[in-house]
Amino acid sequence: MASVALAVNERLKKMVFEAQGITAFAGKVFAKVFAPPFYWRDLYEQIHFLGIGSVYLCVFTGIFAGQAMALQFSKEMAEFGAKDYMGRIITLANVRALGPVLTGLMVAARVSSGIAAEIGSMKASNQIDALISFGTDPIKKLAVPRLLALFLMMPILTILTDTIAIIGGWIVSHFIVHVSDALYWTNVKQKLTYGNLLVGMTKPFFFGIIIAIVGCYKGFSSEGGTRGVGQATREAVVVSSISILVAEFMMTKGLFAILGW
Amino acid sequence: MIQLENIYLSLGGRPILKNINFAVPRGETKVILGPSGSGKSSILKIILGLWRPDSGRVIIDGRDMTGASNEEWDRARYHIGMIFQEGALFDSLTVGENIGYWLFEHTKMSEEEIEVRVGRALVEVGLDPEILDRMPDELSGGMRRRVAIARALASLEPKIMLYDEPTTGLDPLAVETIIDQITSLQKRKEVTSLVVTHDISDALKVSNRFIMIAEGEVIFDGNSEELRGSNHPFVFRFLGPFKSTLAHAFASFGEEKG
Repeated sequence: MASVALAVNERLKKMVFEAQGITAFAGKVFAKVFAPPFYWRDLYEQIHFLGIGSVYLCVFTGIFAGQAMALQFSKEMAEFGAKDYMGRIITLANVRALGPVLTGLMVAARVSSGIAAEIGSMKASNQIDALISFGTDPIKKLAVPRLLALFLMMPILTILTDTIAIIGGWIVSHFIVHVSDALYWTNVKQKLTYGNLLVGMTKPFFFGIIIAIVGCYKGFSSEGGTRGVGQATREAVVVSSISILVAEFMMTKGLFAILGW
Repeated sequence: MIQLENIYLSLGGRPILKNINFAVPRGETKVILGPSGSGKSSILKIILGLWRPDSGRVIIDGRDMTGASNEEWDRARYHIGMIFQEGALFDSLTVGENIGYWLFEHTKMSEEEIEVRVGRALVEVGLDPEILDRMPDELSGGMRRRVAIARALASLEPKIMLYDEPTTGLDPLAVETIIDQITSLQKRKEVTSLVVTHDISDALKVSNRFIMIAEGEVIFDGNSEELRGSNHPFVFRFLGPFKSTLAHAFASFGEEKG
């Protein structure tokens, strides 16, 4: 029993130190966002790689999540004679919560691990030291462009996932549940309110920050060569995914309070 | 000139360097010998300002860099070229972009001017300018080291060159080429050089001045004759496996210097 308590204590301590490390690292990165030099080419490359390269993920996630959700809801809603409201529930669920969260988790899996692996490998092969020896600040050169790229691209990717999910919902509604198209799209439009869009579109900016900061932090803090890089990659996905879920809950609570819902 | 005085360094509570004292006079080349994990590379990282020692003084070209700010270190590094283990070329950049990296980042030279300088640096290290568009992973180990030397040459007009295990893992032909580069650079540009290696035969081809490190401490500082005559048990043990080739190597070195 004592050993279990000790292990839990150690784990908690590690989590607190980790949170402390990530926060301090985030502070360093934010402090350098507006300070020259600006690496525009790196920003453009990261937008292309992290953002455009994640489009296919959002398309697959959106189409299957939308269809699965429509199938799940259709049976229950039909029992209450409410299947005509499919458009509402699909839009509401996707725009407010599922779209941002699914996009965040998918991008975290692809990008956070990639960032940690790339920066970790650079560290293991002395490329980070080489950058410093050439008078380049590695945080400015590597972390800031990735942060900005994800900050800018996450909302766009979320809009894409939301849109595709709503289309996925329509496919099921039209071909399987046989809901009128006009009714479906009217319901979709009715739920695309400023409030719902605000709740859904504020989160991706923060999810982008979380994915970039965790990925970069894990890469920069990796130790022990290739084994360390593997560990950093794994931890980047776990930490960023959990952080996204925690942030989702806290932000929903906060935004609901602001909107008086 | 490079001068280290009473340098102590520990990482994670583990002592890495203990009371390191030595100097490399301007224009000379010194070799740091020692087994893997003895703290050789840590010394180079301290000279380059990548790691700050727990105590002691780092003096570069007469300037005490102890407590220097990041900006001061950045300026000091303008004249220090470092060849990292395996070359540390930037994976995502082509050979040409690697060599011209510093010029792109820190000067207002036009692309044409940079291309000329990059091409000249490549020729200086005996490489064909046709490899300019290749990626680092398309190069052999020896070519990567030579590109790394070209990168340092094109970038910084270095007064000091630091080499971290420049010949480790290379075939004998590539080793010869790298050693030629190091010695010719020393002759042509009169740079102050510090070469870290654990290979005594390579060390003898590069310089006649040696420091030996064991468990983070300097146990020997002198020339090849003194090294051969050293009675320090560790020096004796370290040189042991090389005994058969050592006499020949010392003789060759003597002839070359003579």
